[in-house]
Amino acid sequence: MTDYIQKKHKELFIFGEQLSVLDVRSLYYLKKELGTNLKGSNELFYNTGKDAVKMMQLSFVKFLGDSARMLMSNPENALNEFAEVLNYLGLGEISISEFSPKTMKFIVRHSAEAQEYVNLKERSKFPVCHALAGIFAGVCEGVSRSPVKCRETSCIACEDDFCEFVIQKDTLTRGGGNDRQGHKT
Amino acid sequence: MVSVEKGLVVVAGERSVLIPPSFITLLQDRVIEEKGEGWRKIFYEAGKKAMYNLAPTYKLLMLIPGNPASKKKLIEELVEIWSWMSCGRPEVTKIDLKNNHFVFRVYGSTIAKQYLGRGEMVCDYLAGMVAGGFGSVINESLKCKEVRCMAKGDEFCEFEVTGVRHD
Repeated sequence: MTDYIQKKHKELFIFGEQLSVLDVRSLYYLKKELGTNLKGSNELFYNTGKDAVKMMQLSFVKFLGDSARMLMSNPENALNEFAEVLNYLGLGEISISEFSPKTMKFIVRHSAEAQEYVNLKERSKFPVCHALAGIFAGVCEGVSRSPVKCRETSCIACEDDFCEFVIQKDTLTRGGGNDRQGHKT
Repeated sequence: MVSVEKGLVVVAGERSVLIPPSFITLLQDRVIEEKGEGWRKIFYEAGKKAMYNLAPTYKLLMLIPGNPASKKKLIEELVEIWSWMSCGRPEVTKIDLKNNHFVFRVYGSTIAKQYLGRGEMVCDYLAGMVAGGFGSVINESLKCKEVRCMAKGDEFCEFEVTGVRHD
């Protein structure tokens, strides 16, 4: 088990905070149930992913102290480090495919959030990894300290080869309408 | 039982993700805001459907060919698998297969801990999981109700599981 995840008896921790296990099938049913009963459930997953990862970033700084603060002062290094951390949460194989002042792109292979759609051969017209999009937005906001939007541009639930997420500064994406994921832009 | 590798977490043979409990409570809080008490049914059903579909996979894992496990053993094995979910320490304190009556406890529930002092029960997702999970491994329709909760000031969370009447 990697250094990021600590195990005490049967409990798992990251940066001193406890983690719980959610199997991908439960995640799928949670998304479906909320989708059926709630308007804007995609947005809900996006915002929840974003807020949860921001809380994790705070724990990271609190847990590692000065070394974390030093790392956070270099956005590219901080982003690489967080992508590595996220890899060990089982969300999929995460890599950064583009890093520039205007745009960042993440690629996720075998996304856990979309996996059950593939298992059930349930093809989706739209990308489904809303929590992951929120997580990437939260990570990038924490690192860049400015608001960003993240949209998923390809998804394995739509029979794409991998899931791709594009980060843009919030101001660049304003202007009305909906993106492919159904988020207002 | 738990394997964590880069990009892949597997628990009891099932692909899983590791989430901070705040992910569930943030989600829960936002649904409470919009749906009021209606949040309970939504989370209960989500937990029930998930575990109803997942438990048969665990059942296959638990059954040894030529040595079929008893229903009691299957429930105990399911609770043992749940003990690896890092959600608190689960325990089944009553198994009455004749009357389909079960009592299930969780000590130190990671979800309920987030709501300490709330004054009401909050583990409806877990209640759904228990109804779906127990029901699936013993092939019965069950319902589950939380009767004690750490968020309400109890020492542990406790659930009563009973059969669903088909009148």
